[in-house]
Amino acid sequence: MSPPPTARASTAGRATPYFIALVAVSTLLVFASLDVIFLRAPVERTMGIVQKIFYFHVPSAVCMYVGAAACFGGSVAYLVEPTELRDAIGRAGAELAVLFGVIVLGTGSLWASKAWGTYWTWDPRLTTMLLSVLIYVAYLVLRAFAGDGEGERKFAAALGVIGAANLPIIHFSVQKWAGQHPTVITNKGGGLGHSDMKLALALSFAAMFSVVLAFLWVRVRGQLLENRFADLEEDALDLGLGEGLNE
Amino acid sequence: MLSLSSSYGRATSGLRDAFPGPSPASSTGSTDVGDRSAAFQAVEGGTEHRSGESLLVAAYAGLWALMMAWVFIQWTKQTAFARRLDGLEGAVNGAAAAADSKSAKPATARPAEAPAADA
Repeated sequence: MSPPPTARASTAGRATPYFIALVAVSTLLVFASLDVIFLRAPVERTMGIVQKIFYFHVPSAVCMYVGAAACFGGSVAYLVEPTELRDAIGRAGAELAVLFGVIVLGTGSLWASKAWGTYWTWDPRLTTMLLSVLIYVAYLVLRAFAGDGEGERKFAAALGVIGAANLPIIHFSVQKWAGQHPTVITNKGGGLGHSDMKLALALSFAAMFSVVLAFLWVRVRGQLLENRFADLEEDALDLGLGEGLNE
Repeated sequence: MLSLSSSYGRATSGLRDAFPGPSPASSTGSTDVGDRSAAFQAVEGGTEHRSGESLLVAAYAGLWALMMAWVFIQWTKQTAFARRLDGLEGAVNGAAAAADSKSAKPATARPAEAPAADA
């Protein structure tokens, strides 16, 4: 049985100020990162201005991991004990993993066209990243076209768990297999040689992280509302209120 | 000679060499157009085939275009959701109106039936 309307409204009312605060912080961080990336951070010596793609390519990859982690967490929790919230978190996480995965592949390709002279190469990290995005696309296709029953949800949750197994492979592929993809944030050399470069990356991380949290929040909430509404529609049909529905 | 380069530093230094700014002669009123002549020539076999600036702008624009596309998809989902909500609301209102008319019918029927009963 769904909770009474007053309880729903009060829950939404409590969460709203936090969401507004998150959006405000995200907006401020996005503008601050724009200022530092484009106006303050120096141009890199050998790569030139195209190196600045790095400041939103890497945070986008972290956002993809956040989405994938949400999908993994929601899926595991759903398999342990199915609830609407857990299912919604898994589904929202998969969507965001696809969104930010495509951003990572797109921005990386543009950087590669300058640095490597080609938009795409079958480098281990690029290939495993593409594979991961395709797994989450498969998850979303399954959820969109295979129905919304308990069995389909559990099958999708299992896919969400299996999809996460590829994430450490993406991360360690650069170290384990020979490839062209550079490593900048590592304890074996690399790094950013200017304080404004470090500030740009830190701000960009904070901005993108808050954006992905806001997106996750919106998507989970929307999914929960949609599920509750579908239940109400079924109740209405059971009560013989079929006219006017599903138009 | 002006060499067109996509590297910002080289491009600006090239521009500075080609256009050094207003000279004292021009500021005092020299109108000789020959003093401001410039030749544009393409670089043959240059090392930069793609502009770093345009790639950076494309990457950043693509990032926001994809995020806005996601927001737009959420918007269309909400629009469809609102339509379904209207349907449910209409069905509930219709059922409520039908229930009202059912409960109202006996009350309105009695006075009309009363004279007939008296007769």
